[in-house]
Amino acid sequence: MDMFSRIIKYITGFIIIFLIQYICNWLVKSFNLILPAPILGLIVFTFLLQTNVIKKEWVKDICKFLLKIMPMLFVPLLVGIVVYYSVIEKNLIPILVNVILTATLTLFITALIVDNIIKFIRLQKIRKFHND
Amino acid sequence: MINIWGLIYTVLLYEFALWLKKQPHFNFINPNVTAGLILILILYFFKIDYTKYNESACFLTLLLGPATIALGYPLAENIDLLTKNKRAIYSGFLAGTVTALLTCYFLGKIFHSDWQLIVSLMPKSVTTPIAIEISKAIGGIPELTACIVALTGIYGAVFGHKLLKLIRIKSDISIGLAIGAASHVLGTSSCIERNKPKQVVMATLALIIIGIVTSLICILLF
Repeated sequence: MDMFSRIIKYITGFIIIFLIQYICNWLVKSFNLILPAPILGLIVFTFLLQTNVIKKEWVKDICKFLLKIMPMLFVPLLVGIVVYYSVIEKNLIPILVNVILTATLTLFITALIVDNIIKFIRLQKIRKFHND
Repeated sequence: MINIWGLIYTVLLYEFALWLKKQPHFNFINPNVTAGLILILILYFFKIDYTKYNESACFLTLLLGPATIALGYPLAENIDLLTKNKRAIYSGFLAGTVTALLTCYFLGKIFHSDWQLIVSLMPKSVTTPIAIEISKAIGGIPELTACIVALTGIYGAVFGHKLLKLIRIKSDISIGLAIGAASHVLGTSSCIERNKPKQVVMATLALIIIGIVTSLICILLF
């Protein structure tokens, strides 16, 4: 019986997510939105969970499962890079340097700024506390 | 027979890569990159067409939409992270967007790349579907953009955590935000692999908001 109810939960969860995807696909197509359907779906889904229109327990299992397999879903896309290799080949060095430097700088600058602001705000709070 | 050999190979190779990662001398590998590389070699040696593989593995690509939506679950559970550290997080979004675009632009100028290449490189820190739309809108080559977005994602997923460790960043908020800003969904999935829910939430937020802001900036400026 327990097994059965779990399977039902998976199926209902998947149907909910699939419906959101379907509706968002339709919205993006008919209103020519620049936002891709899955991202719009992500925003809508979070909103519906937040407002309790969708109960968290309905979708918990399926979400955990989908997120667990998510890294694997990228494999076919990564294999696809080979097909476009000829497009990169002409400008291989500039592209690689650009990719590596941009990603590294973005990582460092974003992380340092966020980290230091968090520390700064904490410090301010401690000072305020001591002054009071 | 149903045509799912690509799906089966992918799942098996991915499980193999996960197993390999647990072995003592291989813990540096990234499972999806490893599985991808082995598949590329298999396709190459047996002279199998990529489109044929892609057709038989399309089920996986189809699930990417639902998996992206499923990111909403950890996001809804930890939404208070966003309200607690407002100033830091918004500055992070801004810093991430601006750094990515400016570095890309100036590096393109230094290498005297032609305009079409620079424009195709511009949206590379954004998730693939958004990046392709931006690239189309500002006159880039969508295929090239898709490929470079994937390269950026791999770089961030493989080296992101190590690079941040190097400059001694420890808070989950900073790590997640930086990885989401630099390497979109692939980076986010590397946070999922590491089982760090706070990082996943920050990375998800970063990829949504930076995606939207980047597309607005690119389309308004170019």
